[in-house]
Amino acid sequence: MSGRGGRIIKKRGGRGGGGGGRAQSNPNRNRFNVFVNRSNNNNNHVDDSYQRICISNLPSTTDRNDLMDFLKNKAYKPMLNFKGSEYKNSRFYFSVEKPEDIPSLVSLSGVRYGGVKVFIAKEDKSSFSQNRVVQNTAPRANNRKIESMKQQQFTSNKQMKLLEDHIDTNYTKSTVPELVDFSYLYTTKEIDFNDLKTIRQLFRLVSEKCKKATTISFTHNSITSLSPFKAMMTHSLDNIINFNFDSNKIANLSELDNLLDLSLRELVFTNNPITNIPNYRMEVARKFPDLQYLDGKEITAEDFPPSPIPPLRSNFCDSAERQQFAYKFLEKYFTAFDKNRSDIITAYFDNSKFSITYTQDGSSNPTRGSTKTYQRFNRNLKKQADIVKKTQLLFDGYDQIYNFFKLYPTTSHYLASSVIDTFLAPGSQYLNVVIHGHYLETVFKTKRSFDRVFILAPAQAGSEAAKNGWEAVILNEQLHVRPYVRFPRLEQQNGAIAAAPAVPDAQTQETLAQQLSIVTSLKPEFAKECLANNQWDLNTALENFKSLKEQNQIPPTCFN
Amino acid sequence: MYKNNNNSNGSNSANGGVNENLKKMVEITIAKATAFIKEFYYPLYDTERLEVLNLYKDPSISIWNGTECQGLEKIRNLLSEIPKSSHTIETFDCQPVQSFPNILPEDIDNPNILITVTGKVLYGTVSTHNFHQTFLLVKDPSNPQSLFISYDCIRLTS
Repeated sequence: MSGRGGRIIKKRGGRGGGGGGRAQSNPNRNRFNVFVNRSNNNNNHVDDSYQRICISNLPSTTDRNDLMDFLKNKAYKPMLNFKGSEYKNSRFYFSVEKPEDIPSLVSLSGVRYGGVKVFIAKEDKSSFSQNRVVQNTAPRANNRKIESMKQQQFTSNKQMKLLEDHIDTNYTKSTVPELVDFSYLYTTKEIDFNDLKTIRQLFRLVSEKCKKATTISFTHNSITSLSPFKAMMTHSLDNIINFNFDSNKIANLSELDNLLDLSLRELVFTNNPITNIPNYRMEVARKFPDLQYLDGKEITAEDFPPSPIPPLRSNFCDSAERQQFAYKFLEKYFTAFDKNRSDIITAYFDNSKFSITYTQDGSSNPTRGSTKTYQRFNRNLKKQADIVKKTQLLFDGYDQIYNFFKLYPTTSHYLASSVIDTFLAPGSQYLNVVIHGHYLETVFKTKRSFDRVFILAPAQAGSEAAKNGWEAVILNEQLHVRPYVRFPRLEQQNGAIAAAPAVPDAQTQETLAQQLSIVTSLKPEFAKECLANNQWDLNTALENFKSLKEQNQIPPTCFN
Repeated sequence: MYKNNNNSNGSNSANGGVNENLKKMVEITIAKATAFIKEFYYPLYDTERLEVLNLYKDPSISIWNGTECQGLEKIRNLLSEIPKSSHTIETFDCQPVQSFPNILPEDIDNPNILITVTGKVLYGTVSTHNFHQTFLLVKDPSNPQSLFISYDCIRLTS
């Protein structure tokens, strides 16, 4: 059975996959049309009888007449006449009657109009096709800045258009709706795939236009950095599970960290320097626990050489009963934390202690979103700080703790995919719960990993906690927040204690029994019994059933 | 005793609105935790591994990525099994752990301590991981001024 979405389709011959036949038709034509229509000129050639100046940094709502008067006065040119105006691409274009007036207007560049610094340049029509909007009249720093600014803007608009056209011609009409192919667009259309803006636009277009796509191909595009690909998080592109980066220039394993937010099925990095890194396959497989194929080869046990360290196992507990107790507490706690945070206040008491530490990844913007909050309250004791500060950052009692959580971003935790260790500290009645997991900041759409330690005591009868349905009260809690990274692959616990996960509710039991009954033809009641004997794990139950059946140990009366 | 800290982030008063008892306890806790991390546990673990055993007592447990080792003998086996390591600490934090319910006066001078540490660890020569480790240090009944590891719980997180 093949999983979600097809495999990456192998490179097609030559440039057919990407370049497309119309690459060299004039990509700027649509830009000119706006202009041409306005000047009632039906030629495709630009032939406006007036030269124009271009004014940037003002909103479209600006009063044009007032702006024109202002410029006339500032330039000391009472005889100066404007012949029409246009607002396009966030800029005003004013046609100037006499070309000799233009230099004095351009020299006003940098003047404040209504408190806003405006930039003025002469429009150079002939340079459109060369990607240069403005030709400098004087080599002033300002003008150079404008030029590069405009060039960027222009390039970005142009790329947007190219990408859109590309999708329309190559994807929309394609017979393979699973594949979006952007191969060769760097060489044929100069699209820069290392540019954040480009990739953002690209993913926006993909999320709008390629809803059935599961595979994106970026082969032959001179990609060196994958950091723009982080932008995928802001679009819901969970359907994209295969990426083809064949024949690019990706050289560092750390570049792959930009894709960690994704659940990937297949990756291709053939003909990239990265494949020469020692242990390349192992490192990639380790980073992406869901990955099934790398460079067209299935990931197998061979890709994981014997590890020098003892096996990593899943959830530890010293007693199944306490584990249940802890899970129940966490379930209630994180549901409240995500949905109705003020409810957590009663899980703390007068002397509860809480503190937070934080590690940042290189690329995150420290002034943006929640990062600021984490940083401000980061109690990392490795760093120097005076004792008053260190004491203040140890939140003491439910008031202080809840006041902190009011500042904490809104979250959505994924408890089911967490790793949770539960145990008593030797010789005490305190239950220690260490949980490693991740959450989504629902506003900023940022995923974070966290490690959170709770020391719990049973809630006293009649206490505030007990009255609010908490079976335990939090004595100590330490939270560590870090960039989202997938947890390493774990071996399943074996042994009697560990193999006692939560017993599913009645409805889940019914569903499981039904499934087992269908596969095995066992009567439902025997299917249920079989599951109950195998800790409600469908796979274990099925395996044991098979081996018992082979040994003819199941009486025929058990079957339908 | 440590309550009445209503101005939670208080910065108006001379001591920053911080309760003096809490401040004293924090100071002691941090000094002990810092020494434990920087002078004892990790330096010994990375150079003279078995010396680490002296920081445990017989009921102690050490949980290594989901596998529990209780008692000195099992902890010794675990320590011997793990290849040569090199830890780089990125963050650490500690909190005094108080008795509950809060009936007895707190032992301000020598509270039990919860420590959390994160960083990078290299095992052998190639295997680099992020790690998160939790310790509970508790009073040694035979020598109330010293602490020992009640438990430690480590997870490789990458």
